[in-house]
Parts: sequence; C-alpha cells; structure tokens
Amino acid sequence: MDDVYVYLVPLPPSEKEAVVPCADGYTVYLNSNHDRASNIEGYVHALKHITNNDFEKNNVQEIETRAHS
Amino acid sequence: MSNEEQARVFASNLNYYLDLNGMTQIEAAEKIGVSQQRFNTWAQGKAYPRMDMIQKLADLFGIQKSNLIDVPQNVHDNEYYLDPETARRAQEIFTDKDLCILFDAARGSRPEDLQMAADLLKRLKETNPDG
Repeated sequence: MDDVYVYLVPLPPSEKEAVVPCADGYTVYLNSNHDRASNIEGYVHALKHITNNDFEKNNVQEIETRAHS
Repeated sequence: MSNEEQARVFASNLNYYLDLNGMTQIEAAEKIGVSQQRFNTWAQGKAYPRMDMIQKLADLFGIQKSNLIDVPQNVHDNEYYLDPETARRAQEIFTDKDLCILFDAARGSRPEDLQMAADLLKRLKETNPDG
C-alpha cells in the first residue's frame, strides 16, 4: 500500500478535496473551510480514486461519474 | 436508425471525445493504427468503422463502446461536470503531468474554482516537492 499524506488547505467552497500522486504514494488535500463531516467524505472520495487506480485512466468525466455513483 | 444517421451520431461522439481528450484526428489515427484519411471519413460521418475499430477507440478514450455508438444524449448522461468549460479545465489539470489532480468538486463547479485550487496546489508542490 502506498503512503497517503493528508493536508488541510483553503480550497474554493465548491471543492471538498483534491488528490495527487507523489513520490511514495498520494497526497490528499482536504478543504480547511469545510466541516469535519465534509472532510471525511472528501477523504473517502480520495481513497476511492486511489483504490480504483483512477490515475491510470484518461477521462475525467468518466472517472468522476463512477466515483460519485 | 439509418446507416447515414448511425454514422452521423458516431461522428458527433467521436469528435466530442477527441475534444475532451485534447487529441487530434492525426494522433488518434496513429494510436489505433489506421490512416488519417480513413479516420477522417469517420469523423465527418461519411463512413462507419468496423466494431473492432470502435473497440480500439473506446480503449483509447477509456470509455465504453456504447459511448461512441449511442446518441449524444446518452453520452451526456455519463458526464459528471455540468459545465463543458469546467469539464475541459478538469481534464487539462488531470492530464498535465506537473499537476495530475483529481478533485471532489461539486458538479456545478466553475472552471476558475478548479484553476484556483490547481494553482494553489502547484505552489505547495513547488514548496515541498516530495509531499
């Protein structure tokens, strides 16, 4: 299992989280302007992207449609 | 649906996914191993490709064959971001090797919101290249 680093950063209100690959795993940025429940939802969403190997795929619309279903 | 209509629907979907993936006809034709002229007849709705070619295109775009065959309404049902400009920006941010970001953003997010977050994360990455 890759390492997952988590940071709280002030993202725009419409975004719960962002996830990016890094040297030894992934970095998850949660929105520091959101509450704890939203942060947990965002973290779960990020883990979905990681476990579904979404970074190996091409199409963002398809990726997000599946991740939000 | 007549053969002509089927070819037109296919062309519309093909052009949509080319645009979404920022790919030219020439690049896509090379990747699936057909001539540019042949590819262009599909993109113009003048010819309908064989099913094995449709499968190659679906694999190239990371989608189902039905996304290329069905009428556009069905394609749009499979879209997460509602604003085409937001979808285009999200795709650019994901495809950019220096960014490669996936967001959990609202469907109605504005393109400038995604860009603002991408700029912030890029600065953080530059500050801490290992993180």
